[in-house]
Amino acid sequence: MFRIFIKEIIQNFRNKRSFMMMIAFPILLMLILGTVFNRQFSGSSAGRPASSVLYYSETEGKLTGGFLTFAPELKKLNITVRKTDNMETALKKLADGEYSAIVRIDDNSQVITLFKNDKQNITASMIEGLLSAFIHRFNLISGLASSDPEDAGRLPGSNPGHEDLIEVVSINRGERAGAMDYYGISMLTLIIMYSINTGLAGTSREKYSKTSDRILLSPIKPLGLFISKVTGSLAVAILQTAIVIIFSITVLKVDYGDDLPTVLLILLTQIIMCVSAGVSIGFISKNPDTGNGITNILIPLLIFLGGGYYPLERIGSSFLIKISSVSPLRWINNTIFDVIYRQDYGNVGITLLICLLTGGIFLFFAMIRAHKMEKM
Amino acid sequence: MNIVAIEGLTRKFGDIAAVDNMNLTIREGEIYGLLGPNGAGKSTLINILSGLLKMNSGKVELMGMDIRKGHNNLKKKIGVVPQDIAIYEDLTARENVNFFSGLYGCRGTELKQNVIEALAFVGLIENADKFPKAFSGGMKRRLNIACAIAHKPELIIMDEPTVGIDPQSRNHILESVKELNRRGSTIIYTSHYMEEIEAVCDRAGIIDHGKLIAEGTGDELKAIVSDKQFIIIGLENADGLDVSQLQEIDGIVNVLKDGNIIKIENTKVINNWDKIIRCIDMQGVRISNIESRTPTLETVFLTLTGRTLRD
Repeated sequence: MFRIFIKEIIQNFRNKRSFMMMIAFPILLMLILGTVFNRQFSGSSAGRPASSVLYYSETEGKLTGGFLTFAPELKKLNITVRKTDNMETALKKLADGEYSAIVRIDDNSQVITLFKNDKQNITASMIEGLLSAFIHRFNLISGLASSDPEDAGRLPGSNPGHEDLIEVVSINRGERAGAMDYYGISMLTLIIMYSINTGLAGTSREKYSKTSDRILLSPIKPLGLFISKVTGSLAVAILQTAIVIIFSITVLKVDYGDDLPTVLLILLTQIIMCVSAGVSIGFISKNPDTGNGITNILIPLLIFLGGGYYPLERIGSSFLIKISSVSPLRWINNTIFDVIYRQDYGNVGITLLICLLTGGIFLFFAMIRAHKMEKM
Repeated sequence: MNIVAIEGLTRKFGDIAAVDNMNLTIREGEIYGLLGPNGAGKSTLINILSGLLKMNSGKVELMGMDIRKGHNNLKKKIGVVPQDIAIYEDLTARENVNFFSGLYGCRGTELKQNVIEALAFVGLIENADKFPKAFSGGMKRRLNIACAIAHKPELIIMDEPTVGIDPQSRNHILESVKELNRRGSTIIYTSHYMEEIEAVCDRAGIIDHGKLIAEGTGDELKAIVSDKQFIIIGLENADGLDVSQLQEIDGIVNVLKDGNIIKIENTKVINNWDKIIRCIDMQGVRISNIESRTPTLETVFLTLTGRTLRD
């Protein structure tokens, strides 16, 4: 089995097409897209396109006051906060894309509701993250104030002039999010989807060259062949991805956030999912052309639904956005950006589960097929 | 000692028996030829012997071991040269042989030595570090063989190893088969080329419709048709010829039309050439040449199966 594993690595690294596709192509895409869209991402002092947020408050109480102390922080991100007195008109303007989000503050019930514009998802998500940080801070101060008003007064952020401590990390991270950072991650996860082909090519190659039967003439069993293929292709995909990551960090200066291990873990599970799917499709389909046909449809579809080619929010179809949750790429991209820019780990668990479970399902069916092939 | 012992072997695909209650024995040290047209059951038999297919019923022993038990140990003793060239174009000749030989458990110095020997044996040692995409068809065929013999198997199964190659490479392969046999390997050799079977095999078996219908040495097989003669008639245009009229002539056993050539299996003791010529002439078809042939394996095959090998 180890020999098949080594052979897979040698063959893949001799394959110029695979090298171009999995290493040169994503680097080139990062360079081109990162450079072309750089102006759009860094055209303002805050490092992102200007946008506006409306807030609506009937009573202008303590919670509203707290929110307004937080507004200058948004201004640093080139997000202007304006007041509205008519919620209905505001919602219409939000739908028209005039504003990125509406914050409705109810001082009586101490509830803040955020209405997002899906077409401006990145900005809206950033506001959501900052707002969440603000609420945590506000709740903490309120709690302390009710038990010891003096202590609350000493807390940074509870008085004017200390607003900088409202989740400063998020604000600073947002300032650094440039085009190269965005496309560095999204092109990487996009190209990892193509490691389905790396896995598939491993099995198709054997079928085209008639060598799979020849391997099975030896004491290697179908299950052994399958495991070697998965591990070999996995090693290849990990090496290829590692090269792209190292290049993107050292040369393109792509920001992978402060928690690189978590980002790498998500990427690793994506690779496992894709390679497992590729090898399994190749193993299950009797004709290699069938496997190629399946992946030629599957990969672009998953990438499209994951917003890899173009953000679905900008297409404006709520149906597309709903069904996009079936694309693991969407989960992966959103979760990685959440970890990098909001330190939000809420979806990490489920994303890892989706990747591993999807890969596991493919492996399960392929192993059943391998078991059936155990002829003697 | 029998290196292959098959009893009542049956393998079906749906309702069709590709191998039908077959009995066959091959002795140690033999070169045994397997003859049969496409679909006769040859490949199914080879796939069962080499471990790629399961049998439905019967018993197969290789080197005294039941193939259903301890098959991995058996596989190490078998080398299969597949009909299709099964090598990696992106690995060098040396890497190909090294890889396949390694799958059989060879390691370290022994493996390196075996690879060199196998490449030298097939005449590719000078091209050991070249990629097969630069090889001719004959060289690829030879590499195909090297990959099967490097682990020094006791039983080598060669499935049409000379298909589509130049005469020089064919001669090299035929000599290699004999040499492998001299070195102690038992060989099962299938081919469409009767002259190859006659040239290299000690015995041959004829398979048709999944059954072994005859076997023996070349002379033994030819003796089956010793009472027959074979008339080959070349025609200028056989389109208008009604073969059934020829079949009604006394003494004719079988008539086969192959383009503008008529192959007639005739009973030796009956002199009916004049009737044959007249029958063709009466139908307005002109004869361009006529010859009588002594029995060959080809004619034996034709007699037994009613088909040519390439049907």
